[in-house]
Amino acid sequence: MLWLLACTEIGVRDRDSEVQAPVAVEERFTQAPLPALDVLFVVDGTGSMAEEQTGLSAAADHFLTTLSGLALDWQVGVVSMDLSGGGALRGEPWILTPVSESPVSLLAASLQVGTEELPPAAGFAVALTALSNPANRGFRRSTAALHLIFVSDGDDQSGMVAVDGVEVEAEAALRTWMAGEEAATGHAVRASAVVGDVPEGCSGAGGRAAPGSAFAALALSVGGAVRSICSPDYGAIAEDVGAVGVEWQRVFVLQAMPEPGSVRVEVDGARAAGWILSGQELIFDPAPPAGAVIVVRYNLT
Amino acid sequence: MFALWCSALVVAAPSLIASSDMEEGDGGLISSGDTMQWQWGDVLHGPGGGVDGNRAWSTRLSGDTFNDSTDRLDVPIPALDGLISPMLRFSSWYSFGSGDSGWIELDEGDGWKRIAPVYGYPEGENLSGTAFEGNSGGWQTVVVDLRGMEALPQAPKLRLVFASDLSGGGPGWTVDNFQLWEGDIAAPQISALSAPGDTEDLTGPYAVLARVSDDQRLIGVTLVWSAEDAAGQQVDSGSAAMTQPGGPDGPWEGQIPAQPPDTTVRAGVEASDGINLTRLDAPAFRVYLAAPPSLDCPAERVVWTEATLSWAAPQSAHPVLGYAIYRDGALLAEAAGTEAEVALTGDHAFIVRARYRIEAGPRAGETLEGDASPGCAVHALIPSVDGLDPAEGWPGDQLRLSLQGRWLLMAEGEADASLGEGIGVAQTEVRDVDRAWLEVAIDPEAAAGPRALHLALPQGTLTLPGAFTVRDPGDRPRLLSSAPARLTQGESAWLEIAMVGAPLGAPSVDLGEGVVAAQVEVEEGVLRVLAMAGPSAPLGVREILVDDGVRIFEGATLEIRDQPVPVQRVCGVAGGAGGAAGGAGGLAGIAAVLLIRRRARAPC
Repeated sequence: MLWLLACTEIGVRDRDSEVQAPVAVEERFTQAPLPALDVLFVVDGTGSMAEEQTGLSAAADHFLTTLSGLALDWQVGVVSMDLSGGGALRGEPWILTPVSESPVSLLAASLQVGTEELPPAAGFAVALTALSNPANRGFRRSTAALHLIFVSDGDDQSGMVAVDGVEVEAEAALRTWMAGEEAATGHAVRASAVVGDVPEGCSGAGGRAAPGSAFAALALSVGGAVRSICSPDYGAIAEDVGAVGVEWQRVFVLQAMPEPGSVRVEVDGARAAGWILSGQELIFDPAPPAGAVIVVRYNLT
Repeated sequence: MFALWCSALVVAAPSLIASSDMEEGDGGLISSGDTMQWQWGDVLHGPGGGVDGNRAWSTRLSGDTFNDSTDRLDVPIPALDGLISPMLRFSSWYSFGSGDSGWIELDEGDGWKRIAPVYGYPEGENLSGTAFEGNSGGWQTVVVDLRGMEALPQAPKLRLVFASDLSGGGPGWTVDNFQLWEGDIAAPQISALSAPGDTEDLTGPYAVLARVSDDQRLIGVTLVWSAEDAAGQQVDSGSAAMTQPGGPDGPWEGQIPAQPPDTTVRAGVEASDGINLTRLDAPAFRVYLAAPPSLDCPAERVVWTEATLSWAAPQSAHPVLGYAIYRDGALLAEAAGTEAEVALTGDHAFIVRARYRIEAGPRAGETLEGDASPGCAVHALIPSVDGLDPAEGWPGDQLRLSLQGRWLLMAEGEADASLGEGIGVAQTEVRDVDRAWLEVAIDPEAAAGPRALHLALPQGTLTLPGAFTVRDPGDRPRLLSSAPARLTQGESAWLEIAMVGAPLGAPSVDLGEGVVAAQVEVEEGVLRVLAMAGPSAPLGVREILVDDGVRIFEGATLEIRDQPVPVQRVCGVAGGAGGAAGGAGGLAGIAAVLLIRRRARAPC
């Protein structure tokens, strides 16, 4: 018998029998505010506001410290409720930023809008005017959230304003503008009110405050804060209003495309709901709270 | 009579013979007339006092004159014996109602006659020249010439008469300080003095005219003048005898030589009768070149390094060559027209002066500046760029630079930065009005050296020289290599990525599609990255990118490989009679290979 010894090198991929072992990935995120916030104080300058302005001014440090603690690119402006001023922001510089020289003292000074104004206190109309006044160019950024803060011991008396040549209620015009701005920029547009209690009004160190019904209604309808102007704790008010004004991150982008159905999300150690996955974007609604740790586990495809 | 007058020695030159200042007594003057209005004492009305004290004679000391009344004040004259040229002098103040008047009467022994003082009564509009009328305009000196009366058998009598009409009284007439002199005490009188008004005449001379008279004779009439510059320093002065080119009845004329512009000229006429000297100054006049009548600055605050000023051209007989612009008192710029861009460094005050070419006169051929325009102020806030962070990079770098400044008023889409040759700025992302991010890529071939930052804003372009430096490429921060440099699909491993330089912030690592950097640790010169390759991560070599928020580190690669297919050498024995067996041996070999592969895939 003739034996032939033959050797053959063979490499064969058996695709039917290949089993792809999943690669489990864990990504961590920490909730931080979106980086930009524009804050516009609209302050009543009528004769009964002296005490309130003093208190508000004294809280400037607390307010800016709150914003700076969030590492925001904030911009703050102040305008009085006197329409005759054309909505021009007060102070010099009139747009305060984290790199302004002595921003606390500048904001404190600007918030003292004086008490020489004659009624009506046209908060809504002035806010609209200030946000469109070319002299305030640079204040409103489309990359930033916007927070309007109305401070008054009365209610809004703007009445009618002209929009594109048509007379409309100032409050309605402002609401329309805010909704349009939010839609156009994709960033939150909020309002808060530091006003007399609704519906009874209140009495404080600065005297009697009428209910700020219209201001409060606007603030509540857009997710802002409403605080009593009769409260002596302006520091707390500033902190509270500042916190409401911050826009938190809702979208977290994963490094790679997750395997469908493999995604598990925890927020501060608890299984989280209220999110959807769109491609590599994890979208929360509502946004996780400040400082929350978000852990995302998924398999790589 | 004259009991209260003080006696003095009689001398040939003007000398005081007798006087009374009316302070110690009434001087012996006697009031008479319809209502006897002349009163002596403290004057509480009219001038509010005497010429050199409180007391004097006045038509009512404390009220307006009575109407429809003629009242007299007799002034006793001492004996004039032995005098040669007696003259009476007194001080007079009057303010009469319409239709009222006062005059002097003299009785030389043949009855009262109205006489005129030396140089007469005032004449002019509503002034008849026959009496004191209207208003004296203050205290005046009145001289009565008594010459020729020294020979009268008895001293002349003199009185002052005040007459009022039926209506319209006034403060009246107050007289004081009566003096009897021997000699000429009537100084020359100068009137109708005229000098040029402010003038652009640089050729000169400037004529000064005056009428000069004396009760006796003039010895000389002289023009004296001085010139001051804008600072009030005297730059010229002189005097010249005046002449009467129109004859002895004509005015006296003198001439001041030409003066430079922006000079104030003061001129006076001095006239002498040998004893008395009279000087009368003309209103000062300026020699000037016309100023631009208006100057406009921006009404609102300016947030920029420049502003536009505009002004109106002056009306002048001299040709304007251009304009000089002064900032805070110092020459800043020149302009040919009536508008200019001026540099700002803060708040400033501006004026503009026209520059004229002088074509005639002693300054012919010179270029002279005219008067200053009205001033205007600019409130300026000066934007500036503080710098970039980081301020240096290497060829091939991709950087995110932080730009910061003051008063930049940056708005989205309106700020555009550039860093010069070899550096591309892909994006200028405005953070706020004073800050921006610059996405920068430095060309690998970019030359080392400093670069200026140019920040284009709607207001203009700001430049910061030397804002950024391109370093030599040798020590460029970069990734060197990854170990391991290969991963298999589905494999996880820690990569050790050697690098030059250290991340400035917490780095994020991009390992490309399908590969996740699950953990990142920074150690000295090394990044440790837990890389997890997905089972279907694209095969091939990909670049590892590390972003520390400022710089993108690159230079290392990672290769993703397919799962290896083991290669087996399968040997079979084939016999001549066992062909089938031989064939079976071949299949068996393949089966063995498959088996080996399956085992290899089992989890470790």
